[in-house]
Amino acid sequence: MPIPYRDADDLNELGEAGYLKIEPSSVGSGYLGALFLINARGEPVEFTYNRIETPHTFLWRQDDIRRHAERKLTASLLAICPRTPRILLCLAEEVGSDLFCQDVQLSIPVCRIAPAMKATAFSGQETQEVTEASEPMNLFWFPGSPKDDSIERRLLRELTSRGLLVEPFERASVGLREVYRTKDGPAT
Amino acid sequence: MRVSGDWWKETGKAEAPRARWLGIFRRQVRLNERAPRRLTVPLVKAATPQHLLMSENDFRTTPNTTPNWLTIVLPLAPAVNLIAGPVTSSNVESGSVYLIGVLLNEEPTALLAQQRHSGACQQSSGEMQSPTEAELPLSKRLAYLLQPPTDLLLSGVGPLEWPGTLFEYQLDGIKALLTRDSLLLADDMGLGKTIQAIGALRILILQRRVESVLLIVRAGLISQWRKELRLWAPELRVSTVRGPTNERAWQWTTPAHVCLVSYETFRSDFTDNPHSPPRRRVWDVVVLDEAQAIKNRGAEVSRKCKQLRRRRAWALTGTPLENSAEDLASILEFVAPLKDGETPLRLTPGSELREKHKLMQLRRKKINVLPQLPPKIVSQIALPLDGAQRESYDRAEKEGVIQLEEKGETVRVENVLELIMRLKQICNFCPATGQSAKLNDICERLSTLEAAGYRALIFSQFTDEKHGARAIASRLQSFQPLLYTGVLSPSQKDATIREFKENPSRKVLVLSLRAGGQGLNLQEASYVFHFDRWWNPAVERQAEDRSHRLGQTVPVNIYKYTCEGTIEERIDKILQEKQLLFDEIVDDVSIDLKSKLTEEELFGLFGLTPPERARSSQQRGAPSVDYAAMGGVEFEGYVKGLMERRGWRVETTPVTRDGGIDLIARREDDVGLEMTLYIQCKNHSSPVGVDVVRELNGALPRQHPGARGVVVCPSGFTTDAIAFAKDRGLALWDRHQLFELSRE
Repeated sequence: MPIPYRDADDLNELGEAGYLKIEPSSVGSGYLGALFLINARGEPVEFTYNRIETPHTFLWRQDDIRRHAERKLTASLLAICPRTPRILLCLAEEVGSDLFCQDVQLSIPVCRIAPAMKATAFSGQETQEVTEASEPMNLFWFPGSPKDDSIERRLLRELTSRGLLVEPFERASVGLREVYRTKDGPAT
Repeated sequence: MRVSGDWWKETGKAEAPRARWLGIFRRQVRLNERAPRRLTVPLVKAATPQHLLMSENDFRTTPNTTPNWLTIVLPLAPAVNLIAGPVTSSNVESGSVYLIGVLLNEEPTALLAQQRHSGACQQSSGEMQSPTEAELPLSKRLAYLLQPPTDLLLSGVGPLEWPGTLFEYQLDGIKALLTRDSLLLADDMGLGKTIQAIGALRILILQRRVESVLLIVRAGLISQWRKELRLWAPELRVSTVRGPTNERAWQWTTPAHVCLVSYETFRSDFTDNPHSPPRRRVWDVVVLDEAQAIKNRGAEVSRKCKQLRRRRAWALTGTPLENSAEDLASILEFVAPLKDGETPLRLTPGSELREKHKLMQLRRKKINVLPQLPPKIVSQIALPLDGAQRESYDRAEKEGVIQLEEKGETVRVENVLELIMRLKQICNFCPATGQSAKLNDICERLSTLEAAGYRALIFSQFTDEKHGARAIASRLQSFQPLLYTGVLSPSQKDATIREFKENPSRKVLVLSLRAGGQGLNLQEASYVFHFDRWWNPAVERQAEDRSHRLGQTVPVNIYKYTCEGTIEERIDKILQEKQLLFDEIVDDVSIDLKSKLTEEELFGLFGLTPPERARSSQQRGAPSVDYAAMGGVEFEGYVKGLMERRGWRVETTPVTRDGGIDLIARREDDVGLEMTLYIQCKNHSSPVGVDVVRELNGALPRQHPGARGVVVCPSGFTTDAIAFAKDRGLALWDRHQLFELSRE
């Protein structure tokens, strides 16, 4: 049993943040998905992963297939993850607004992240805000941004101040490559 | 709408994709109506645990009986939780890994994450190799890979807050500690070895690669380590092991990331009993601060440190080599992991030792890594002795030489050393008048320095009120000096240092070289005076580096005093000649020159030649002793004499109320810490039984961690007595030990 840290109570109160990572498979067609949970100090807590294959065919629009694949992949990750994060973060370039505005509903705030310097489509149902991290970021919240004094907001502030707003996505990607490297060949 | 959990659900809003070719006829064909039949999505290729993943209706396989049906197949892998059952990577398509605790108690060789992820590790031939896939299950590989990168953890904007900026060489040092299970960190004094060790421990513990750390330090530095741990790793739990035995037993078992203990307490609590607290567990990391404490391979504390079962071993010292290559060998013997059933490594000086040294040591010198550190300006001050002090000195030297000559063939090296010591004391203060040329000079300098706002440290090897630190402090009362010597309790030492650091009006701190020469951070002072010279330049340099270290902002001025026309001047000349030689050999790590001076050189200091007898004395054995002819009191006196010849100060307890203790012997060990032996003498004709050993054990003081009980009996001990003593760390000396003690 791990020895609790002196600040364990603070960490426990803030809970965990979930990072949803969806990326194309390096081999064949399909997608790899990971739900990576970390605490406010960036310690990894839970890593849930799955992959989905999509058909090689011209019969369906790729955007449609992608959306449907993301939906099913996300549902499977959420289903198997035994823990509930305080907030769910994902990259806007990987996850469209449809996924959480229409296809999958969460009881926790969902935040899609995109660099502020890059034009990004977002839904009218989402709330936009800009965070001043080392690199300015657009945050698109659904169903709405957390209140200033909420635990979710405090957790986000902790993550931002510790350089953990987007860094865990890289770790999740590394984890996915480790899981599927034997299946998909050497990681690139 | 399908509810799949408390916090999420999949809505029915999204439609399945439509076939592209149907778009041509979109206006004619109502796809929504046909879609449910014609587009069935998705199919799960492999069986999915239904209770975990999706409802049966949504994911049932569509019978492929109608040739014109168009089916999009999205094979979704079966999901499993890796914690629920052991699964190897080869059969896992999907899953979930709970990462907390996965890495605990792992061998340090299982290092994967940092090498693949950040690529920032400094590697050498002495480091670990990445494990292969076959060596580590997927859950552990993931647990390594998903840790925050070391570079991020060490950055000022990463997940860990650091109270100060870490220098590049310190970051390298931390990375070296993280990647090696064996390291002798031998940076120059003042470069921040403490911070590097704490930083590495913090990261290892945060990454859950380490949970139990044993940190052994000098007793006088426990408070400083606690303070640094609180500052640099505030989230870690630290258990300081000290105080009475019953409290220590509790402290050893308190759940904590770091057990902090002094060498004396550790020596006392590490007994032959395998269930004694330090031996009960395998430590993830054992760190020895001021590791020169174990330079003597034969010392008890040295043997016990090497017997600790440990996965990683780090030694911190700025002077790994003080006297000989044997010192280094002894320290490197510790710097190697020790698993169950293994015997500690044994190294002998030679090519193997050099090879190990090269692999295991990381050493940076101030001049290379801290060019921005202000310079250290060393000045030798030769003072003439005047008046009464000169007369006293000349008389003492003349009488001393006559006495040496009168001893003839019986004269020993110790007699010469005693005379040297006596003369050095007179060089400090005249025994008759208290006159001191050195003190007069210091007073003048301090007046100037005080006016300019500078602060000073004054070191002396003596502590007494006639020639040493107390005499200096009492004579400098106008400067309100603080005094730091070994007789102060730990709390008094802390208070003294705190007062000096926090009260700028305290301009002068007088320290005994042994008590204050190591480990302290005194950057507040920029002037250091060596009131008298020590044999070992490394010890002097350690003392100077209390001030000349990281955090110092102004040049540090060192003044070394010698008195003209005295033994100090003659010794200094020899030391300088020898120092040049040793600088070339041992990379600036100086050597205890006392042990390197020949008898000819020592006697030559007084124009004498050593007697022939002295040269052959090493070969002589001990005289035979007839123990049966001795009475009890006579035997006590005999043991007392043996101990005194070995440099112990021995006190005989009153006969009527000795409580089982006949003699109390005290001596300072290699690191200047006092050891106390409580000795019971039994000159029985038959082996001593357990009752006697038990009686001594009951009489031992319980709040004195540096104490040790000894029962002496030439006839030996019963099996029960030996077993009892082993479990409690008592020593038993029979005629063989007495013979060894009596040998010259």
